[in-house]
Amino acid sequence: MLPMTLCELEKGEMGIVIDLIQNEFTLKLVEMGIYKGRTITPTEFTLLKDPICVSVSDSRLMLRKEEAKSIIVTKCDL
Amino acid sequence: MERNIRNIFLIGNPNSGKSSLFNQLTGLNQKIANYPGVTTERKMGSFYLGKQEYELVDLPGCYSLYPNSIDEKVVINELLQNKPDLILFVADASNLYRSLLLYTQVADFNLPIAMVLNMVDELESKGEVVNASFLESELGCPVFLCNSKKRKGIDSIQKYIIGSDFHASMKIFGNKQLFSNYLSSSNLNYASWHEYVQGTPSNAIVENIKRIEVIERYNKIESIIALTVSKTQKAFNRQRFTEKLDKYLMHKYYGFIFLLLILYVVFQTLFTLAQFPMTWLDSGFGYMAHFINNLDSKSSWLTFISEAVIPGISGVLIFIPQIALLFLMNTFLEESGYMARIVFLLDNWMRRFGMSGKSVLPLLSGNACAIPAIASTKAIPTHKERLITILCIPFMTCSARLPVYTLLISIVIPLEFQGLSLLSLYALGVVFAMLFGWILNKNISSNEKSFLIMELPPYRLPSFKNIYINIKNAVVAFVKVAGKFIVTISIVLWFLASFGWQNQAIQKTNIETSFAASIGKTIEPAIKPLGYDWKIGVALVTSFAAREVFVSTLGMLYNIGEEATERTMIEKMKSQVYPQTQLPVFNLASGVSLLLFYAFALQCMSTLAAIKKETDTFKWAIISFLLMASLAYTSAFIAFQFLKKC
Repeated sequence: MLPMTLCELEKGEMGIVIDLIQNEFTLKLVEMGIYKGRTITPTEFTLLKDPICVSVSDSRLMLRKEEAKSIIVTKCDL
Repeated sequence: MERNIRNIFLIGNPNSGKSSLFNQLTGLNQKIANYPGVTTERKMGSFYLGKQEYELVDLPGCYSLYPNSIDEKVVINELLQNKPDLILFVADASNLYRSLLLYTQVADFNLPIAMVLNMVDELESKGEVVNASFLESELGCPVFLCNSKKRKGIDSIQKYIIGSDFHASMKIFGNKQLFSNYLSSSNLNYASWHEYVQGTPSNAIVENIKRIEVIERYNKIESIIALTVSKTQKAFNRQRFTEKLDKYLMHKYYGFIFLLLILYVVFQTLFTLAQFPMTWLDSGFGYMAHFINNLDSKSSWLTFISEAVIPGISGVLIFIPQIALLFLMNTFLEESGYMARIVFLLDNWMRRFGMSGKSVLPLLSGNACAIPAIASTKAIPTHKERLITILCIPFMTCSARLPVYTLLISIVIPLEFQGLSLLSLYALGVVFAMLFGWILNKNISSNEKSFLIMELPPYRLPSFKNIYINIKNAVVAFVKVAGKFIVTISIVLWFLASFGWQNQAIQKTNIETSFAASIGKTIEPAIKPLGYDWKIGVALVTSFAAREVFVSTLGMLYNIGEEATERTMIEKMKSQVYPQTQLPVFNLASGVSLLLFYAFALQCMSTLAAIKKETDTFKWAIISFLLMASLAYTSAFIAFQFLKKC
């Protein structure tokens, strides 16, 4: 599967985190349960896809585009 | 002899029901102070079990011990500086995975700890059940199942506290070797690592260690959860319900319609409901002052009480209904979980003006009163966004401007345009708040990266007890802080307005020859280009402390008796003319000029005090005062000069 950023996933598609691009907020993402190997699914978008709402490990988070772009995933087919 | 009070810390994630537990354990016996040096509130409460007194400290909710906001820094600072007798760790059972990250970090401080597993019913509704005794042995600390909103499980927690058989966790979750390059072997523990992290500027290697630490903890947590949580039959699924509701409430188009509807209802209720008690208080105090004055009209003490002290106290109490209702709405939006959706929907728009989604509610609260609104900006994590929000709030049309607006509008604006004018003034406030934010955003540099990573809690019904206690705390804080201030200013103003310099001595006099009048006449040349006479000048000076004083000062200056109704006041003010020209003082030009002046000038000492307190420097209070004053003067000047020719 081709790696892509979380932004490129459609609503409801599941992705597996394969990498995080290092940033000031990377630790915060990890603390919220987003790190290599976790599954993540966008559930709601705002108009410009910024921020987006994602479902990760049983709970839901909102992220800005900037944060979402730093999350590299591969799409996983159900 | 020193009193032997036992100290208990309450630590947990945001939305874990920590505050409910705090309220259940302490009841109404709470006090809120500030942490030394930082502006974060320190929420404490004390309670007795048997003869032993306990002090419970409710630390701000956080996700880990590596802080992201001022609020979160408090938690690690308290852990490092004060050694509590016991830590009650509040975990949200329906979000155990995330709760345990913070738990394992706190447990590694090796302080006495016990876990309160809250919202077990929500976990069950997800079709899962947790085995408490397995969890106890996995965590190495006592675990209490609890539903803090319904008081379930509180008794067993109290029994445990009485027993005072507290001990640190039997387990250590972190991997010491991660820190071994930075700490001496005698000091190789988690607390020392945090001391090291606090004392050194962050760098890539340390950040990397933090990340590895968190992932290692999560790996352990996964195995703990696998051992302790098992699936059962599903009942009502709150998560599902929330997701379905969010399909509409967070929708990219419908979401805004619902948002507008909800905010409209919230603020409509706020204004309509607050009006009743405010009118009662106002007329009640009016009668009281009148009654006291009539007891003995020659006694200067009674005059002092009826003209200075009572208006001062009523000036404080009149705001209570609005503050109480504001906090009612605030707590309701927060506890129900809708607040996070407001942040989601509006973050993008707010960012263009240098703020974040978290600025929306403080700004809207500014429509009631800027003081609690400024205090509520603490949850905004980045310094720059928080600062801009604080500085924009005073532009919003607070309730103190309302009496000034309604009086002036009914004098100078034709009846058919009165409603529209009031609405435009509200819109003007919003537009300039945003414009100011946009300008500040371009001019304040910041190397701090702004981000928004926020949990969306499931929708929950707020508890009455929490709402009630929140309101009570807000009201008490307001009366204590702003109260002293407003009463003092009111007394000073009364002195200025009723004494003057006559025959080389300070004497009681009427307002025309008072100190206030000489101030008004001194500044008259400066305000003449705006279309004001010296009496309006006096009102401008006196209303510097609080805008609504404008109305009562003009009442005094134009000799309108105490029994005057609003109607007679309007008639009397309409009939005021300049002695030389016989032209009316209050015409469209001077009226609009005054309205603009009040829309922009930061005529509120308490707000300035709040800005100083929250930004921790006089700099921003002075800057915003000067900026808003010059904007007020310029716009009033342009409006008057332009309209006068029409």
